Amino acid sequence: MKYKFGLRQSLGIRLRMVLLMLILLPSIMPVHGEPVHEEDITEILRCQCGCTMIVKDCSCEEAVNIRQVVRDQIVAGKSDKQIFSYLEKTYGEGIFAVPPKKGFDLSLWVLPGIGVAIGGVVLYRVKHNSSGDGDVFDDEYRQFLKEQGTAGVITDTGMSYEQMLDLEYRKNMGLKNDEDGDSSE
Amino acid sequence: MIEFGNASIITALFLSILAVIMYISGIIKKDETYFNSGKITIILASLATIAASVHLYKLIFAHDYSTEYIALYSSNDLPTFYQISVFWAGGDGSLLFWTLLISIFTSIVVIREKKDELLQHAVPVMLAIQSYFLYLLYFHSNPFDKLDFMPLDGNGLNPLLQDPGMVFHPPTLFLGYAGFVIPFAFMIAGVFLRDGDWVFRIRRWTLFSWMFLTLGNLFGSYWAYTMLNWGGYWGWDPVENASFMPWITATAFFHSFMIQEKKQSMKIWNVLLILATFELVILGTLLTRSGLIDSVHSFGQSDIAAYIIWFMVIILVGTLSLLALRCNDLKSRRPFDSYISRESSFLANNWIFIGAAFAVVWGTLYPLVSDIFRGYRVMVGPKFFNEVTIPLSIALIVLMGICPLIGWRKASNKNLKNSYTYPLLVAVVTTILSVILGIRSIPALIVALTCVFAISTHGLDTIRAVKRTIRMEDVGTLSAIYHTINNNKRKYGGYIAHIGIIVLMIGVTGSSLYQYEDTTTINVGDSFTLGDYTFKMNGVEQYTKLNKIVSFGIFDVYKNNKYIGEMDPAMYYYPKQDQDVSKPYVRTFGLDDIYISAQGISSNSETLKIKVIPLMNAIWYGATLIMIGTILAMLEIVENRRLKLYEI
Repeated sequence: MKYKFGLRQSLGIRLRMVLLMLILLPSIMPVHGEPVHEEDITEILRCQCGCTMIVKDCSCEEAVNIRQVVRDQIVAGKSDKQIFSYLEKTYGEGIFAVPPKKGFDLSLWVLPGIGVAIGGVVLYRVKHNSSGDGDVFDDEYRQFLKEQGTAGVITDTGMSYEQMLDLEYRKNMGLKNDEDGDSSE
Repeated sequence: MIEFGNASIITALFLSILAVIMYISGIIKKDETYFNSGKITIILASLATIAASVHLYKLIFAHDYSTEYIALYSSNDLPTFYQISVFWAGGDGSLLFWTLLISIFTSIVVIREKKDELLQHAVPVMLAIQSYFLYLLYFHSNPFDKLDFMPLDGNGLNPLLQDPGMVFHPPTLFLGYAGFVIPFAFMIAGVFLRDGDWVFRIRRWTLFSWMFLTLGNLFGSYWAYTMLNWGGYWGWDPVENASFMPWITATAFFHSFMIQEKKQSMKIWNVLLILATFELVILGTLLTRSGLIDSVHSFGQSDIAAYIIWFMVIILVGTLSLLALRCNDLKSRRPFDSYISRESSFLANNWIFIGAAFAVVWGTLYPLVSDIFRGYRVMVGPKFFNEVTIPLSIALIVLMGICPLIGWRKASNKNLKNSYTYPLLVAVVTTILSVILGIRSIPALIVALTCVFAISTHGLDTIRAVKRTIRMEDVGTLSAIYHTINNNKRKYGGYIAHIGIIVLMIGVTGSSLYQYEDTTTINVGDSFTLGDYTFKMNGVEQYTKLNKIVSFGIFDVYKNNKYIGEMDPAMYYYPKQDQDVSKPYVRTFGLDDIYISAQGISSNSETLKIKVIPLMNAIWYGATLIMIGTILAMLEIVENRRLKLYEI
């Protein structure tokens, strides 16, 4: 028997899904803001001594000098853009430890997002394009999940969470499962 | 006369190839005798590799500088304890160490694993990999190569590597790397034989390798934090990423494995995950040894890059060709019927893991891509990796929270209500309390919300199970907790590991968002205040210890004017290398780590970088929980309980 969501149940589920989405939503928002402090600037600058570290973390003389330059620029009231422009003029493009979000380098920033989006499309297709397994497998799977005694509600088995916990307990204790679990929720 | 180390390697190579031939002959002729002989040959090959390794140690401890490798990485003044690290300090020695571990694992597998067709087909794969490593060792990366003269002293070990962390970090990492050979070999055998049982056979080995990879990364982080001068623990350096990438794909495998176990689904996906994990392990060694990408950790230029690339290509093409041949036999059932089900949450988790792995691989290799297409290498620093991986990590924590309580197949409205009402309430209330307590950082609040939600769902499921045990067994709470966990080690091992990840995430968030620092010079008798902490300098001392001169300032530390302890940040001077190394001093006071690293020192003053890092210890506590959870999960053997009923 196929379970169908009623209008009220469906609405309830959707509301909860919205709540969950609200939790997920911030996770796709950028966590860092635009650079405003010395550290925000020096964390995207590459130390020029050849150590492959960022200026913020490196202790070498080069890094100390660059930090001083940034500090001086901030004290002089320069904006972030002006500071970056000054640094690029002084040290060249190689000063940046993070490629800009433009031109060829845009691919660095965009490809991971595209990759994740493609993954989402694949998931969607897996759900909608692959064939179901029919009633025979439905029955088998239902039975299997009962045998497993997995602690979760499977609507089709008509078992409550508590009943599943019972089953899990019995399975783990090696007890014979004498509860059929066919009662409806 | 051939040198003993070389003789051992060439013997091991010969025996490994012989064992491959024996196993293939046994498979073709279906004759058990070949497998028995092959097993003895494998053990002899392991003994030969062990002999080579023991010999290298003998040369290290004897200060035999006629061996080029020892002349490069050891010296007369190197303390005995750190001579242990010389073995893996360079590319050649570490390759021998890796080969040693593979050969030992192969022996353990043939001795301990069930003697069946799957094993018989997996062993030649392991041996082929072992043989290739032995070939590389002997012909291209030989730690026994001799100089034509005998130097009086060696170059010595890099002072930064003269730390206990470096004695433990590489071996644990290599245990993880070498361990992944076993899942790969069983996967190939399983696909070749059309035997889906391979996933069950490798579960514990994969957990074992994953655990050591995790441990290796953590030892590395701890070493970076306590030894390097920047006060961080993860810099997203290409070589650090190299050990992180297979960790991600292996973690994805543990979750998708459950779908194959439960539903005979995602078979091809699991094959691809194990392939990706092994390829990323090899990519890691390529990045470390080739000098292709600039890294603070790399061993420098080496001529084995081409051989490693070819190895990767052969593995990739070979596996995909085999997969194409067996594609029709790996038909999977539909992995999930409803988006609101545990199956779909596992799938979503894999989606995010793979997205994260792709982003890290892409960011790591991007300098090379830029070099190829534009002729110059850009640097991809931590900011890129943080921006990409932090949102994905938060999404994973949310899924981690959803997973334990959502029903298999299709969750009902009642299930969702029963499961998530309280966790959501607890999470929202905690977040509001956090705001009231003064936390204003949006990222911190998001982490608090998601982490508390995940902890609550895990807690709720455990509490319900414990209550049930109390009711059924009529025992006390502690006894019920023990029985509940002991009866389902796999599930609760996973839960403990999850909680470990959450605690670690809280540590990462707190330490990165709320740390503050200053750099200052303090004279003897003067004080410096940073936040709630005041540092009063009492003096400077100096002494000689083994191969270094130690200079340090003595500081009394006060919190809100109350004395809480003494800290002595030091600078080491290594005369042999003529190199100064700052040895940071880290102490935990309550929730804060005080991190002081000396930038310069004189007879009456010291220049210091002082950091106050909150919640740093949560990272190490979280890591410990991950270890405990993994060991607990490993204790349970998972068999293919569905094979007879659902075999396709």
